[in-house]
Amino acid sequence: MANANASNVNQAMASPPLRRRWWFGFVLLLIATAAWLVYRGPKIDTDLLALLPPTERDPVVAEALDHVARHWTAKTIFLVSHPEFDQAQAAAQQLAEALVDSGLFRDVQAQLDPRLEEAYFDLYFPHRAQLPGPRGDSLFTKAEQALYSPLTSIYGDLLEKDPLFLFAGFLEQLPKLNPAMQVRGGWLTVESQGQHHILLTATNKGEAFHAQGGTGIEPLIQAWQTRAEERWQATLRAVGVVRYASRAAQQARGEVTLISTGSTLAVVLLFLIVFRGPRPLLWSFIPILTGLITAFVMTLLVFDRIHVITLGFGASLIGVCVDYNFHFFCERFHHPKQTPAFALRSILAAIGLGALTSAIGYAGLALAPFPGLRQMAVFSTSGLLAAFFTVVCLFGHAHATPPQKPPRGYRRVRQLTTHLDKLCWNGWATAAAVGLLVIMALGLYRLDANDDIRSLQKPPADLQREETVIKQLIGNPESGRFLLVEGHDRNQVLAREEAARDFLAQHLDEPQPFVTQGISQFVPSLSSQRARWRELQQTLIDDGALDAYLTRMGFEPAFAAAIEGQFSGEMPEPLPLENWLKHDASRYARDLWLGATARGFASMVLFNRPIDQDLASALEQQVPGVRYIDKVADVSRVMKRYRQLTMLFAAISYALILLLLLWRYGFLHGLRTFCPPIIAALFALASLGWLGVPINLFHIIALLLVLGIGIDYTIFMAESGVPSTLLAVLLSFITTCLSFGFLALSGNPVLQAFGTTLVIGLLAALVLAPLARRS
Amino acid sequence: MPTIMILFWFMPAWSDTAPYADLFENPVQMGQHETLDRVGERLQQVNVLRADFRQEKQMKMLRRPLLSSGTYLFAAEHGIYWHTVKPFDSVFMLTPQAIYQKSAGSEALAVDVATKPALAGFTQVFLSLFSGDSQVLEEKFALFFQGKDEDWQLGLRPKGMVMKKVIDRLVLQGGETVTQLDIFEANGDHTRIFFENIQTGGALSDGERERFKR
Repeated sequence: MANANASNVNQAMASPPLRRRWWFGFVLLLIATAAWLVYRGPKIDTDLLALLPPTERDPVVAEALDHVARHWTAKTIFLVSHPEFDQAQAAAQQLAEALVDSGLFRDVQAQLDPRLEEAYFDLYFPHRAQLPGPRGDSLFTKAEQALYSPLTSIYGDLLEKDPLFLFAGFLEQLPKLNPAMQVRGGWLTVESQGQHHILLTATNKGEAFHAQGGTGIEPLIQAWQTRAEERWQATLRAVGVVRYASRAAQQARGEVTLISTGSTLAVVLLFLIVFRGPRPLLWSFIPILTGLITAFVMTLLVFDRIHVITLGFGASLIGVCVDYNFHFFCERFHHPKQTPAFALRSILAAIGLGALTSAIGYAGLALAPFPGLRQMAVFSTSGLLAAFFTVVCLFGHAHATPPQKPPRGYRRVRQLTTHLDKLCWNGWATAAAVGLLVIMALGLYRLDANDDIRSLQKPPADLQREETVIKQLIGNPESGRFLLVEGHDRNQVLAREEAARDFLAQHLDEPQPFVTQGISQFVPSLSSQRARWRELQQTLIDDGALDAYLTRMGFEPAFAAAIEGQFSGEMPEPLPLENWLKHDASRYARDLWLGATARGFASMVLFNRPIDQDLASALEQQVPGVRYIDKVADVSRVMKRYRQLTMLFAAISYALILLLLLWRYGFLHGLRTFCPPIIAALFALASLGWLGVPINLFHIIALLLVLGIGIDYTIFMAESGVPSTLLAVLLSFITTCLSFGFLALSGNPVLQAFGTTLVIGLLAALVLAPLARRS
Repeated sequence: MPTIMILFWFMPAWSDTAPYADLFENPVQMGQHETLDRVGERLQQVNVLRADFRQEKQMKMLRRPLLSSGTYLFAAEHGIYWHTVKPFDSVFMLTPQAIYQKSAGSEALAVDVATKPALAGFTQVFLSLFSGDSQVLEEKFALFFQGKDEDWQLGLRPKGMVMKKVIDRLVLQGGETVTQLDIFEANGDHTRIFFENIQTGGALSDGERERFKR
C-alpha cells in the first residue's frame, strides 16, 4: 500500500527544486507582509468581552450597549479614604491633579463645580410648580418646618417667590443611589465606619480595552496607591474595567512567554536528546517559525487585530507543528539508506491525513460566532498548514547525511512494540475494560454544566476587594444591567420611563428602597409636569388649602395675594428635555440619554439591585418600548446555546470520522481505529465530571481538538505500527501535551478549559492508540 | 410708587432696632474696654454650655412671630447643637465644616460650607459668638458695647459685603453668660432667642459627642 501511495504522490507532486522555489516565494511574501503589519502597529486586545459574539441582532440595542461601553465602562472610580476628612481631602486633591497631569484621562470629576447650584436654580426654579415634590398635607408641614429653620434666612427673598419651598422639595427628592453621600468642601464624600471616603471619577481616553492605554494606567494607579499611603496615610482604591483589562494583559503576556518558552525548550531538549545532534533541530526550526509567523500574519490580515488569548493558545501550536518533523526524522532512521525525498514520500500520506484532520479540528473552532474563537481557528489552521507546507517543500533535502545511530529510546520503543504484539484480549483485559467503562459512566453522570460567563472571568482578588468596598459606598449601582427605554419622540421616552419606574416601585420597595436613576427624574414628561401643576392648583387654589395655610401662618395680605396669584391662571411653559440637555445643570446625568436612534429616541435607567427575570418580563409586557438589558445573562444564554450546538456538531464530526475510518480500513479494523478517539473524548468528559469541573462551551470545543489531534495517533498506528512510527507518535504526544499542559495551568479560565480537556483527552488517545494497529 | 413711600415701607425694619439705638452709638475695640474684656474672658472660658431656649422669629411677611422652644448645646471644639422640641421636633447643627438640619419626616439636609462663602462666614461667626473668640469677632464685625458686668449688651455690625447681605446687626445680652441673642436680618426679619436654665462646664457625654458626628 505504501508503494502505491508513493507513486501516486510522486505523480502529483512537482519536482523538488520547483517546490523549493514556491516555498521561498511564499516566505518572502510572508516576511514582507509581516514587516508591514509590525510597522503599522498591531492591535492587541486583552479583554474577554472582545472575544464574545454580538449578542444583539437589534441595531438599536447594540448601539445602546456601545454607548454604555463608551461612557460607563470607560469610567474609573477612585476612592480616597482616611479617618480625618482634612487628610482625605488633601490626598484627594493630589490625586485629582495627578489624574489631569497623566494625560490618560478626560472628564476628571473631582470637586463639584460650585456653579452647579446656580445652574440648578437657573434651570429649575421657574418650573418649580411643575416638578415633583411633596404633596397634599406634607407639602404644608414641610413648608412650615422650613419657615422655622435658620437656614431660610440665607435664602432671603426667595421666600417671597417660593413660600412653599417647592424648589427645595424638588431638589430633596432627586435620586441618590446612596443617600448617605454628601458634599463637603465641594467633594462627594461618604462617612462610614470611622472613615471619610472621597469619591472621584475619570474617563479613560481612547478605547476602553485598548492595551496601549490599559498598560499605562494600571502601574500609575499602583504608584498613586503607594504615594497616598506614604504621604497621607490614606487608602486609595480604584475600580474600572481598565484595571481588570490591564491585569489580564499583564497576566496573559506572562503566560504567552511561559508557554512559548516552555514549549520551545521541550522541543529543543527532545530533539537534542533523541536525535543526538543539532541538525534535526535546526531543520525543524524552519517549519515551526514559518508556521508561527504565517499564523500571526494571517490573523492580523483577516481580523485586523489579535487577542492575547489567541496568542496564548497559538503558543501551544509549537507543540503541534513539530509533529511532522518528528515523523520525518524517525522515518529517516527507518530507511537510512534511502534519500530524504524517499522518507518524505513514505510518510506523506500519513502526515497529510494527520495535518488535514488536525486542521479540520482547529477549523471547528470557527463554528461558533465568537470572534475570539474564529481568531484561534485562523491562527492555528494557517500555522499548521504553513508548517506542513514547509516540511513538504523543504524536507526533500533535509538531513541528507544518513543518521548513523538510531534515535535514543528507539530500542525501548521496539521492546514496547514487541510487548504490544504479545498483548491479547483475555479475561483480565475484559474486566479492566468493563470497570473502566463503569467509572467513566459514573463520571459522565456527575458532569455538570455552567454557562455563566462570569465563571470565565477570574479577576484578581485584590481588585475584587476594592471593587466591593467602592460599590457598597456609592450605592451599589448595577453596571451590567439597566433598562433601555425607547419611544417615537423624546416625551414618549420620558413617559415610558415614568411608567416603568412606577411599576418597579410597586413591586420592589422592600426591604430597602429600590432606587432608580433615570432622566425622567430630572426632567419629568410633559404630561407629568402638567399633572403636577394641575394637582397643585387643585390643592392650593381650588381646595383652598393655600389660603388656609397663609392665614394660619399669619402671612401679610399683600404677600398672600401675590403668592396665590402664582398658582392661578395659565401654567407656565413646561421644561423641555432639549433645554435640560443643553444646560449646565444636566452635566452629571446627561449620559443617561442615548439620543436619537433608528427608531426614534432612547434612554437608559440605572438601579441599585438586580431585577428578577419574571418581573422584568412582566415589566416589558406592561410598558411597551422598555427592555431589561442584562448583558451577563444574555451572553451566558448565547454560551449555553452554542455549547449545545457544538455538542451536536461534535457528535456529527465523530460520526463522519467513523465513516471515513470504516471506508479506509474496512469494518472491523475501522471500528478498532475509531475506539481510541471516541473513548478518549468520553474519558476526558468523565474526568471533568470526577474532578467536579463544570463544563462550558470551551470544553466541548476542546473535544473537537482532541478528535482532530488525537486521531493522528490512531491514523499513524493504523497506517504502520512500526517502532519508528510509534517513537514519532510518542515524541509528538510529549510536545503537544506539554504545550497544552501549560495552557491548563493558565490563570485564564478559557485557556484552562482548553488545556485540561486536551491533556486528559490526548493522554487517553495515546494510550488507546495501539488498539488501531493492524494485527 | 413715589420714593417717599418706599422709604416708609422699609422703616418698620429699622424701627425694630430702636430699643438698641443707643447701644449702636457706642463703638468699642477689644482690649480697650475693661468690662468688655472681662465679659469676653468669661465667655471664652466656657467650653460646654447647656440651656433651654425660646425663640421668637418675626418675619417680614408674617403678621405674627413664629414661636419655638427646645434645648441648646454648645461645645467649644465641636459646635452648636440646636434641638427644637416645639412646635416641630427638629435638629439644627452648626460645626465649622457644615450645617446640618434634620426634621421628622424629612431627610437630613447637610449643607457643605466650603461651597457657599456666605454660609462659611455665618457659621464662623456664630461659633465665635458663643465661644467668645474676640479675634474673629473683631475681624468680622464692628463692635458696640454698653452696660456692666452683671448686665451688658454687645452689638455687632458685619464688616464684610457677603455677610451684610444677610445680616444687618446682632445683639448679645447677658450677665454671667449670654441670656439673649437678637438677629436682625438684612431683609427685615428679626429673630430673638432667650436662653434659660443655663449650665456651663462639665464634659460632653458620649451620646452628646456622637450627635456632633452625625
